[in-house]
Amino acid sequence: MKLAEIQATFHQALRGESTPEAAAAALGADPRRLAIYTRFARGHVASALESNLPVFRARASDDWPAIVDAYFAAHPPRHWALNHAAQAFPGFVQATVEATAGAPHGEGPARFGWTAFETCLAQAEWALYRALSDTAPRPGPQAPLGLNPTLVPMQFPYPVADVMLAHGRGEAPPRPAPAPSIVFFYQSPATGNGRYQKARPDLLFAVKAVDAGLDPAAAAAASGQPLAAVRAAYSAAADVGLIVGWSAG
Amino acid sequence: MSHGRPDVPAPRMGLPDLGHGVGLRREHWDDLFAPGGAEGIDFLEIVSENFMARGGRPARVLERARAHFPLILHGTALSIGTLDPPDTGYLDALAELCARTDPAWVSDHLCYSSAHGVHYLDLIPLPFTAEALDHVVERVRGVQDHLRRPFLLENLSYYIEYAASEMSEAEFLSELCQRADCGLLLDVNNVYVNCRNHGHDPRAFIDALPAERVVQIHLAGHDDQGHVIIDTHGDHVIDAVWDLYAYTLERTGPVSTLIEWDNDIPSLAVLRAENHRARAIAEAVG
Repeated sequence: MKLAEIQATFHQALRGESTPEAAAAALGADPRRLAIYTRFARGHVASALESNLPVFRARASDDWPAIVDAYFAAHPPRHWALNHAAQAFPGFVQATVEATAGAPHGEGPARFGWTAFETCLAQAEWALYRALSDTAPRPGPQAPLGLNPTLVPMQFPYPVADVMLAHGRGEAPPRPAPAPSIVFFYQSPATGNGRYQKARPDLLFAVKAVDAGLDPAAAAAASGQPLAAVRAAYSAAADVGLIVGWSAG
Repeated sequence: MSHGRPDVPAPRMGLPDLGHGVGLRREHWDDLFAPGGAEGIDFLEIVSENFMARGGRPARVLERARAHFPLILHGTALSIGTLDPPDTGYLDALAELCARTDPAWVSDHLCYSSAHGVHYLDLIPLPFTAEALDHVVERVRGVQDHLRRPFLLENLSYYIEYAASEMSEAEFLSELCQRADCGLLLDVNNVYVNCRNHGHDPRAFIDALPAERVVQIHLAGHDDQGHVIIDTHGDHVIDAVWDLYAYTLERTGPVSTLIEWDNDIPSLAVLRAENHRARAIAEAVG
């Protein structure tokens, strides 16, 4: 048997396109042993999803194995990095929502009962992974006033950060009602860890002003806000790591 | 990488004995650099893919590790045996990581982990055939040309044997190392696991290897499920593997040795204790 034939036969088994029994017979191998590899291949994708989308996974509850199966079949990993096996999941959720809109609940992917909120949640959790992986150079201690170079703001039609924060507190709130929100995703300048932050009005103001290149005096003049309020907003944004090069003193 | 007569490399292919090390794992990022954390740890092995094209905290930890320890790189996604074209993006990222870490050597596994454009995220065994050998030799030479670093391949733990195989694993490894002029990362636990799973003699396997090509040794725990042993890297090294480690060192001489623990990762103190035991065995063998 040539190497190409062996790899093709193994590929079919690993992708669920043939049974371990059929592949093992072709390869002259023990089917129970070959099934170890098929379990591992699916398990690695499940692991990538679970580590990068922990809130989504927790909310999926008993549907999770079926979700992993559907995703595994639809999106073979195309990148060598384990975490990237989860990269297509937000698009998978969105496509499923669109394909099952109006479909009878309880049949096929419609059984998941997803709405646009689940798409937002998957997008937000993947955005957090992208932020923590960002390779932008770490701002030095003498960095000028500016935005955190890893900062990515995202708009959502749902208060998705509230649900992620609730999960962090061990809570499992029901699907929220639609309400527009902006969430900042970025690396903490202090630790390098990935972070997300709801865009409160003061933080949003500071980010916009710093992005426009305004120092506090210029931002106060442009906005009509008291200088002390502007400085407080800059300090709050710096405290959570949204802006760098700011010293309240 | 040959030394002296071209067909007889020096022990460890002339590469250094770095002593006894552990893998750099996220669970130990804080403890490793705390006072006393590095005691008895001579070097660190980096899982290449965990730090390739990664910024943030991983990049910072890597900088710190580089400042405190000799580093070596160990990958899982090179897919040296795939028939797909070489992944130049992967190789470029690995070369960039080499430039950042200056490793004493780079290693991966004798296997393939991708085919038909799909990454399996697992290590799939190759058949031990002349065709596969020719293919891997060519791929190893390509990797060496790309990285310009000493390169080792690790003997894989595998759960199936192919009817198509034409030679033993030891014969395949010996030919591969000689023709591609690469080193061997000998995972002694894998030897034990394979021999138990397939009914081979682990000491005969060790005897059949080119001892002078063994540049590094891995030791790990496994999960004995009775009908099969799974190479989990999730437990202590068992006594039979410690014995096989001593048997190996008697043939290779001192070799850089690493405790691999990737699942159910214990405290750094537990790893240090395993490391200490490996060192004691190596010293006893002399």
